[in-house]
Amino acid sequence: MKKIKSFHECDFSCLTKTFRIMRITVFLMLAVILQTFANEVYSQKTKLSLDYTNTRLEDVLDEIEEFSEFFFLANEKLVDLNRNVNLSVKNKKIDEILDILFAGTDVVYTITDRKIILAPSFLTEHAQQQRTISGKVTDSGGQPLPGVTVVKKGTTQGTVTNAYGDFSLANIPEDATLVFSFVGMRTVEVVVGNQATINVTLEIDAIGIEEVVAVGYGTQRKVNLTGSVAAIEATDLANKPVATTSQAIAGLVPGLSVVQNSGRPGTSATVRIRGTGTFSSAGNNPLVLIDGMAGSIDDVSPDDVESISFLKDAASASIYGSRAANGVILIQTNKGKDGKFRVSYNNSLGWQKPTELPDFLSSWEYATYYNEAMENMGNSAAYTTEQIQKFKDGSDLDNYPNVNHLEWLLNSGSGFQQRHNIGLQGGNDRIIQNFSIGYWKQDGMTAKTSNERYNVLWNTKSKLLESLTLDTHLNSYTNLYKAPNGEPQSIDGIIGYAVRQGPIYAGHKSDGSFGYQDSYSPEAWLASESFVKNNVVNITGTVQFSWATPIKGLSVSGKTGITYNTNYNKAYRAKTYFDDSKTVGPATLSVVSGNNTYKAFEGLVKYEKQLASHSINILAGSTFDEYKENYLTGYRNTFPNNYLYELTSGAASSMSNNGYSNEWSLLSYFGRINYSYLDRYLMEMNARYDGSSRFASNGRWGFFPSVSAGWRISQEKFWQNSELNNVINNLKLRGSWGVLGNQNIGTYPYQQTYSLGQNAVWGSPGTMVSGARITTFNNPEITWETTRILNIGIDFNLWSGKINGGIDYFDKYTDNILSSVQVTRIMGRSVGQSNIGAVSNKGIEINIEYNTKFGKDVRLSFAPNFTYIQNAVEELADGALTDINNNRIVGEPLGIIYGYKTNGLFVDQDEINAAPNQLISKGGLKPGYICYKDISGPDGVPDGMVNSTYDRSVIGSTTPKFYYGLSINASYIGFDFSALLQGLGGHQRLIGSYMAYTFYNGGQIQQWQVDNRWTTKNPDKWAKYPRLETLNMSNTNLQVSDYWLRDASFLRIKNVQLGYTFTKSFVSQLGLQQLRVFFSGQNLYNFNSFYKGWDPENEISTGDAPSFYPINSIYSFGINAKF
Amino acid sequence: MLAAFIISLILFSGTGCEGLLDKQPLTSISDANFWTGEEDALLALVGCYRFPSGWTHEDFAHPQGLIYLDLAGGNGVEKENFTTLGMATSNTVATSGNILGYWSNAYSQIAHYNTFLDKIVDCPMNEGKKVLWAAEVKCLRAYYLFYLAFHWKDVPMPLTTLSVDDANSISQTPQADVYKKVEDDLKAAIAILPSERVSSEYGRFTKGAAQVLLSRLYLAQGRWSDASIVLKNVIDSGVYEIDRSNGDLSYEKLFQIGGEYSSEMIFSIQYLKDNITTSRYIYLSPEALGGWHQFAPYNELVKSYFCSDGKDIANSAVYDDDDPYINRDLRLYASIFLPPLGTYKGTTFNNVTYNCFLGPNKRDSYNRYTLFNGYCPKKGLDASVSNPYATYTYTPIMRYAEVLLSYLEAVNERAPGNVDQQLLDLTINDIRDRVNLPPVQIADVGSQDLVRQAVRKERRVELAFEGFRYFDVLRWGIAEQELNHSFTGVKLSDDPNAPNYRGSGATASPVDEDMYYIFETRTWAAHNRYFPIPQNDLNINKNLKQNQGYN
Repeated sequence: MKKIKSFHECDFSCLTKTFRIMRITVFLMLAVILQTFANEVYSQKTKLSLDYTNTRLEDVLDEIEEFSEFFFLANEKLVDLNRNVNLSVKNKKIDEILDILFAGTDVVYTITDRKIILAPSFLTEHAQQQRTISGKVTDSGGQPLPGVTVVKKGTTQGTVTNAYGDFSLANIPEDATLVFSFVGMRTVEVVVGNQATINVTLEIDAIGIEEVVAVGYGTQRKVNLTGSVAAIEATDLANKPVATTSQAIAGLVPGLSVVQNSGRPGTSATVRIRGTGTFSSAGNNPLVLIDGMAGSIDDVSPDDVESISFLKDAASASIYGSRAANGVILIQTNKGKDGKFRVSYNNSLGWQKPTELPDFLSSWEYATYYNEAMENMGNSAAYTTEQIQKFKDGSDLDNYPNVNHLEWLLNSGSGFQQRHNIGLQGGNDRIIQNFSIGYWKQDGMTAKTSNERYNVLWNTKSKLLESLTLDTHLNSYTNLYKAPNGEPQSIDGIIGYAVRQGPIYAGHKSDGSFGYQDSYSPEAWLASESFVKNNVVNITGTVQFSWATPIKGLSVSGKTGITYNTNYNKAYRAKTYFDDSKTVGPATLSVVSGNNTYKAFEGLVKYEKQLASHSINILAGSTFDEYKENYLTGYRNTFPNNYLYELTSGAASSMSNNGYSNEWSLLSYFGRINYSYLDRYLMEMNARYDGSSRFASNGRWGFFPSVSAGWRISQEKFWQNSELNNVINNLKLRGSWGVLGNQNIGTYPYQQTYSLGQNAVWGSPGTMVSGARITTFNNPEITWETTRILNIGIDFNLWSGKINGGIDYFDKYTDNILSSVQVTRIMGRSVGQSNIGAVSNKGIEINIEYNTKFGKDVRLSFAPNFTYIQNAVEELADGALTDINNNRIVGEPLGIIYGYKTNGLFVDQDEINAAPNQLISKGGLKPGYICYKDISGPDGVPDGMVNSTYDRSVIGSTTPKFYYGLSINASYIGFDFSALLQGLGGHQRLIGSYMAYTFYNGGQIQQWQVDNRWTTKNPDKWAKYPRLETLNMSNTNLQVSDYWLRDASFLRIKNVQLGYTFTKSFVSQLGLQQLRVFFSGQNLYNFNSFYKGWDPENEISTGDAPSFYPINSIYSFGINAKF
Repeated sequence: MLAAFIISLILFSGTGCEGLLDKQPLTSISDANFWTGEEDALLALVGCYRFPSGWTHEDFAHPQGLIYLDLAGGNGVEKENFTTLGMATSNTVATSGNILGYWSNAYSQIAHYNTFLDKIVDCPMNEGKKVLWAAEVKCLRAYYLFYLAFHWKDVPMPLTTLSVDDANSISQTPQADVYKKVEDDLKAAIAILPSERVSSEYGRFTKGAAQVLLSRLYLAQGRWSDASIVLKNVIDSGVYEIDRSNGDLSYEKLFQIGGEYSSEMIFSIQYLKDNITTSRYIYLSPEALGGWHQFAPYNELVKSYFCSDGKDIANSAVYDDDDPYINRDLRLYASIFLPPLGTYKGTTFNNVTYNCFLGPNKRDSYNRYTLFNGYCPKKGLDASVSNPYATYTYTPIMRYAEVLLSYLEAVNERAPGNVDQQLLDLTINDIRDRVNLPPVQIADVGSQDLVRQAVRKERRVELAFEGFRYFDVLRWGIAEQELNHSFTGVKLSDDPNAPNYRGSGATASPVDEDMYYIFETRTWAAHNRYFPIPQNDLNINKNLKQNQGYN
């Protein structure tokens, strides 16, 4: 709940002026809370101590807003706020204070919960004009609203409502329109017609509320932001059937890309702010701070999020210096709003299924097309007609099976998921507590795969003294991931090989044995006692003291926090029976036990000063962060049976262990100055000075400054006096520039080290001898990666908040990128990081929100957002223009696909003969093979031969150029509906091996390959699949080329939610305050033109060790209850 | 008090001194603290003897890498065609991952050797040991340099630790100069290395190992006289002898666990159960034994094994074309899984009888994969290794049989007149005697060419799967004949009741005139004599020149 500020220089017509852009969902929530929790207790209980001498009334009211939860509504034309007052009270209630402040004036006040309306007393008397049109203005809770301006549209003829909300206007013609406006409320226009009485309900205008958003080490009013900060609220995340916060934020914020790579239980999504800034191991993950402590976005349950801020430009992020280059995500957890005792319970139950599945052929079709492939290769058929018949009739399923192993595997688990969350809030005027406990369990689509999580959040805010506040925060969770184990040793790999295993291999045979291909059989591995178990316990605790010093405006705070994380991972591969000739063993067990401790200390000094029209805020601080991790691993094999899987049970002769530790630390000094003049001209400067243990002592310190400025044009007199103001009610220009760093590059990257454990076996008999060698060549001179961002933005509200929006342009340039320089294999070693290269990201972000209302009860809002990013490599090591081996070319984006261009398929031998020389000799080519283009040669012109040096070029890019989202919210009486569409576009992808090629290394064949294949009967040059053959990695058709490239753009129906809130009268009979039931669907449909049966968002590693976990569609329902 | 508390909190973080930022590695040794004495040097020396293990395959000293080189030379094929199409055919391209693998692993080993050689110079330690250890490491380096030059011709020859700039600009050294450096280093090492090692040092380079490596260089260069001298020295040293310790099973056992300590072993790579292992058996074993059956030996290799009367199948009286697997060389039974056919009952190993005629989709079935042919390699398989993913059976690199055959070859090429019965008995017949084959009689090999044929046939079967075949066919100049035709597998039949019935009509498995299953055709062009320089490095180092014939 944010405060309403209502004191502005403005004339009569600008009472409608609004500032705040907020979704209607938030608005709804807000309205609900106002109603639900309205009570007189606060104003009665709250006591304030204030001391002012000769201070402007406006400032005094400001401060009361600041130190309490009261907010004032007033018409500035009617109440003089510029007069100076004296006030000295101790522990007085608000009405007593107001009595003092307005003693001797004609101002009267009305207190409704926290809302205080100020109006001249004449309004409390009956209106004196001739009543032609009269009526009553109330708020949505039925409270009369005094001081509401009522004017005849297009004139200055008007009045204001009295203390009872009544008004009357004379001489109003039938065709007139009355405009009802009040600061903080949404303006309403009513056509008079033949009505004599017009009663109007004004609603609190979400955009009239000045939202406060979290920024680095503090908060800022959104209207005063000069940097680029996006914020979302709890309601944006509510009731999505996803496990993690990272998945829940997809599509909500411009500039933010969230890619869900996998549907495996417990998987995080990949989050990027404004593109991919670096190709170094420092990575592109934003810095995430949870209530000020660095952590991972998924350390917080979506249920516990109060708000999330995304600091996107350098001005907002540079206060985090060397860790902020990829943007910063600030997560605030639920803190509790007031002392009122509240209990809530939310749940959801859901079922998952894969979004897409490849369409494999049945076994008899497999055999038929295998024969065609054999024929195409000049070989004899492998299957006889009789055998194909046996596949077809299913008479001998052990020997002539028809098994879709992938489908079997993905149906082997229940795919059921459930979430429960209980929240408790309460306290008194000195202490407020928020407590929540959550449970989340997701069973995979595959059997024996699950992720289970408990989390507990406990926040308290205590007033130890009037001037001393203590905030404590405890967030903990346990997470247990379970999965099958086998060959390969992950469920993703088992799924990957199920793609390979054709229908001609049996699954479960009638004698209890299993069919298999090599050592791969999902049925056998899932039947075995093998497992993977990962246990994580994470506890974060912070304590913060804040002291408002006796010096006015000066406060200091000290904070310390510890995160302790333990993880215990066990992978057991049982001795596994396939059939009488194959038992894979011995059983093996690996155990990894680790813990890490992160400690952070923070001291802050803040000073605020208001001097007439000048406002200054100063922040200075220092932090010290330290991290250490320890790991211990153990291994044994050969166990007495498959049910003993502790290390001691394994053969002692096989035991081995290992251990390692790493540590780093970071010491920082930082500061910020905010200055604003008349709330119109805004300026901010940030700087941070960071020292990191990751660098050699001579290059350890880095300086990261930023500046930003804003101009609220709509505050200018000329604007407010112009017609423009009727359309554009709020307009702000802002710009920023700054420098950020990235230091996340391993712990000792500058030191040349000999790795131990490079052992060998010598002797007769052979024994292990210890060895050491340098495996990586490190560069002692490395230093920070730096990112400079220029940001120009504009924020606007149109038509009284019907349309709100913002546009940002940014230019982000990262240089000194830490990366291994490209080096030939002749070097003989991998090469450590050096500061090479630069990458730029330039882009535009647009977000718009449109709110409307039909009739009395239907509310509708659309909020599209769109981001375009142009990513480019700007510089490579030593001035090189290309680094082909890593797919980097100056001027091209990261993630390019570099390969051959093709000219369809060869239709006949003549075409082969006439074509330029291909990669292999022409004797090896056949009609139906891919024809590669000769695009250049040593002399820069085609040289008659296709060759890897001259004829490859950039044929695509895996980096999306634009991403977009659209939120739709609607409500009708008790029903609410929301939908979120999300898309990525402008990028391509290849899949490969078992996923794209027929019979690859003994793999399968899919319907689309058959349907689109080149055949001798129909030698289509542009067929989408070449001559059917069995393929392997050396095949000339499988070079990286545009033939296999597919557009990976997609538009996804990410979430659809339909809810119904029961009427109060009904739920009160159940002893509830509120009850809502909902249906929620996630990933319901995906529009794309990618490979049929494969989700373009799904990360699928191909090659000869494929692995992936299909993304899932989730259908869920649940309840939200408040007691 | 309150103020003091908060201010102290602030000061605590604010006054953090520079020392808080000094963090040292906790599990490795920094360069500055290394090379302080003999113990460090020994650690580094051991690091030099660490050869690729695990799932690294393409390396000149890894058992799988050696099998690939054997198959590439026409002894067989890999199920997924990694080797033949990727490395040694007219379809070979510069982006071949296999070729890059051999190249990268060789240079990686060389880099460790060069760092050792650079650093040991200033290491405070016993001077004698310093020289000796450096000589060993130069032998290791010579091993990789030799194979690089043999397979790629002119190659970069780093002799010291390279900087990034060096590695990205180094040019190729002519093959002859690389060979010269290999020869010089080996000769110098031969002069000082011990002939034998104390038991704790067993496995390290010896004089004999350096001499055998030198002989390979001479054979590659056709320097027959030099080869015969250095090989004669090995023979005369009396250190090695053909291992007959297990009677008729001597040959088979030699490649199993324990063979590394054999009297015949000159240089080998040892592993340790559960610690240093390779993935060899999961690839090697037939499906019937739980493996992937990754390799298919060609029938052309099977045919080149002798019959029990010592003659080849074309001339043997005991060979029956309809019963081809009976009465054969013991080494055939030790080296290849053969199916039951005729009177042969099928190869039994670890109580499992191998059979490739169980029908479609059945394990090891001869046409289950496009590149299956019914046979599976067996040499080196040890039943005591229960976990095929973690094979710890040693890898032979040099053994005495090679010395004997190379010596006979060298003498025959240099001075065919010097080949007499005594020489035959000393060399080829010593080897044949172990596997109960009658000796080659000088009367039967009356010309240089007949001796040449005899020694080449013997070499192919004696050293099968040990990584010699591609080396041999290249240096003999016979790759164009050997690698340019159809290859076959097991024998099939037109009799519908026979287990090896090939089917009828269009779906019948194709066979050659002797009814052997035709399953693959290979092509090899003259330019394939050398591998292409990997495109990966050509992309970066503009001074490298691609070998002729590669696009």
